[in-house]
Amino acid sequence: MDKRFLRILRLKLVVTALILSVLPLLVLGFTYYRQFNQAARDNAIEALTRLAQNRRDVLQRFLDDRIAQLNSITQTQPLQRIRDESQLANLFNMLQLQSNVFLALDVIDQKGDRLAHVGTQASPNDPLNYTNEAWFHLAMSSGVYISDVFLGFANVPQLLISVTKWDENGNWILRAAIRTDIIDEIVRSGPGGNRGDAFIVNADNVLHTNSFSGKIFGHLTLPDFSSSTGVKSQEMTEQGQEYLFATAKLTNPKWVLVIRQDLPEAIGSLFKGSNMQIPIFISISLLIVISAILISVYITNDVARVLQEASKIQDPIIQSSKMAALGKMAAGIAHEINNPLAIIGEKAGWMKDLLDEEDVSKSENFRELQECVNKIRDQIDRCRTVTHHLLQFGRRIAPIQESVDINQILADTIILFKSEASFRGIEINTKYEELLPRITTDPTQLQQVFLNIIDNSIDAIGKSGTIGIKTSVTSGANSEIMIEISDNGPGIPKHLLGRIFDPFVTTKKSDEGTGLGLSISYGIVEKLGGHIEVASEESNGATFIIRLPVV
Amino acid sequence: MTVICYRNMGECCAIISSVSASCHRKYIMKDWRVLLVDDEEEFRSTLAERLRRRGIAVNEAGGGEEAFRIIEAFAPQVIVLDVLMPGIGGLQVLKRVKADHPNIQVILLTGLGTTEEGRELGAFDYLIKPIHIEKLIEKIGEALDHN
Repeated sequence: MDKRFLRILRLKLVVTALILSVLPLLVLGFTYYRQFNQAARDNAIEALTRLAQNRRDVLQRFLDDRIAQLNSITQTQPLQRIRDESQLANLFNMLQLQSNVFLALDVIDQKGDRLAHVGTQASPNDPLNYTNEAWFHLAMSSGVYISDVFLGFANVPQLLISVTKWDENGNWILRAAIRTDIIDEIVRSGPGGNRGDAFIVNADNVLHTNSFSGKIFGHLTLPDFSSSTGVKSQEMTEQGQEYLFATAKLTNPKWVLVIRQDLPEAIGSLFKGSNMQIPIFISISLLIVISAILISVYITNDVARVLQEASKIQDPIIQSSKMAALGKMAAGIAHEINNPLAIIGEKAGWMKDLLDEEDVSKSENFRELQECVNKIRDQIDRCRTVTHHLLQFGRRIAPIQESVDINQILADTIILFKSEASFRGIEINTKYEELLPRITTDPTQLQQVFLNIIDNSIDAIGKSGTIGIKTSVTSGANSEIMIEISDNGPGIPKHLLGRIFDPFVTTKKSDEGTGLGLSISYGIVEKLGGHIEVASEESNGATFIIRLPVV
Repeated sequence: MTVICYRNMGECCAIISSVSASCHRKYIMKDWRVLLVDDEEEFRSTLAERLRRRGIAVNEAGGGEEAFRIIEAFAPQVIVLDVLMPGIGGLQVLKRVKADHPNIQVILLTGLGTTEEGRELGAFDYLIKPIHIEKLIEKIGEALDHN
């Protein structure tokens, strides 16, 4: 079995299984991740946009409410009454009760003169006439004016809301100073996360609330959100960090509410809900890898088993077809040699005839010639033995079919070796199965097989040893007769064991055996529908087992 | 001990155990008419000469056609026939001989072990080359006895 082949096969199977299963999973996972990421991004943008819009609306409503409060005073209170600071103080207190955000109230007539003031102390820098102030003219023309946030006299960030009352008797303005810390709160209540930020910039891109990007009243360098309109969101990169920015423009004043959120944080928060996906993905991948390895191991084990079984089946087939080819070749060679050998034989015979007939005994070379002729004949006989054995091995003679008793054939064969065995001190032990069935086979050819094997055993033992002959029959549908011939000789060398039935493979010296006996035996047994095998360990004897079908 | 004397031979042969057959044949071989058919001339002529030296009347043929002609004129009792020959092969010759002269015994000579067909076609026996001349003579004797 080729272990390297199986190892490569296993590796190929694992790699193929992994490619075919993990790759689609990875593609699926990647696509899913991208889509989810995009959806999360879109979701985050939408949420942030909604948040900015919501905060902007809250802020706008806060300002609108303050305007409405001031409007309700201007609509209900005449100037004569309100210019009285005690009356104004009453109104201020009432406003404070409603919403504690007012710092001061001023009443200013159309000439720009401040008529009354209540609340926190007015700044000494605050002029008593505002005709030169831009806001005064804007308030007079548009009716309502909201200032930017500024640091008031008491170092309190504040803004001014001015509401103009158009009156037949002369227009006047009610101006309120309002704390802006509430605006900070409204803005700050927006974003989440560690890197989230929210702030307001005015039309000059000046910060109106404290922010991570800068202190209040600081000039926001980049980006410039002041020109932003409506409500929108965008992704931006600041110092290598990805951020989402949502901007919402207020109508009055012309401020822009900015909410910044860290993009990975915004997406990550959405991923939190589905953080089981990575363990699931890893688990599935592991499962696939383990399955691929297990399946590959199972398949390669099966392949190994099948190959082993196939080789078990094929070995005799290969052996038998090898024998057939060898037989054909051996017969061809024998024939080609036999013809010239026949001529040499006849010529030598002719020479012998002549030497026998002629009166050349007086010749001094007579003996030499006679010896030469005899030697030629001896060597021809030796060649003849080889070629005749080759023919015997190669020829296809249909076996005779007779009902025979194997035990009897064995007994008859052993008799032939009796004298030689006792001469060499070899004991032949037999153990015959008494109930051995008779089988239909060729007794002569079978005896030839037994002769070859026993002859080999005697030669292998040399002097003093034991040969065991045993017969048995297997039960079952395809019952067989088993003939075991074993000896306690030196055994067959390991390197010859696999080729022992091949022609010209022999453990004997070249002049003692042709190396064809076992090949012929193999051919005969196969022809009789049986099988012959050998088991041997070096220096531990050899056992030949012949199986013949019971027919 | 049995003694058989052959007429016109002037000799008697004591038949004792195994010597009997060869002794017996030595005298009757002189009546044998054998046709040797083989395309290998060196082999054929030498073997024929050796058989003649032993008193057997031998005729030779190098092929099938020649063999048929000689059979008619020579009327052999036994044909020693090579199987593998160019032209008309040994088995074809055998077939025709057995058809025309069923009494002529045929001994096949072969360099190859395939002789089953020859037996089926009526050959008496076969010998594988190279042969021992003694074996051939014995086989011829057996063939004649069989007749």
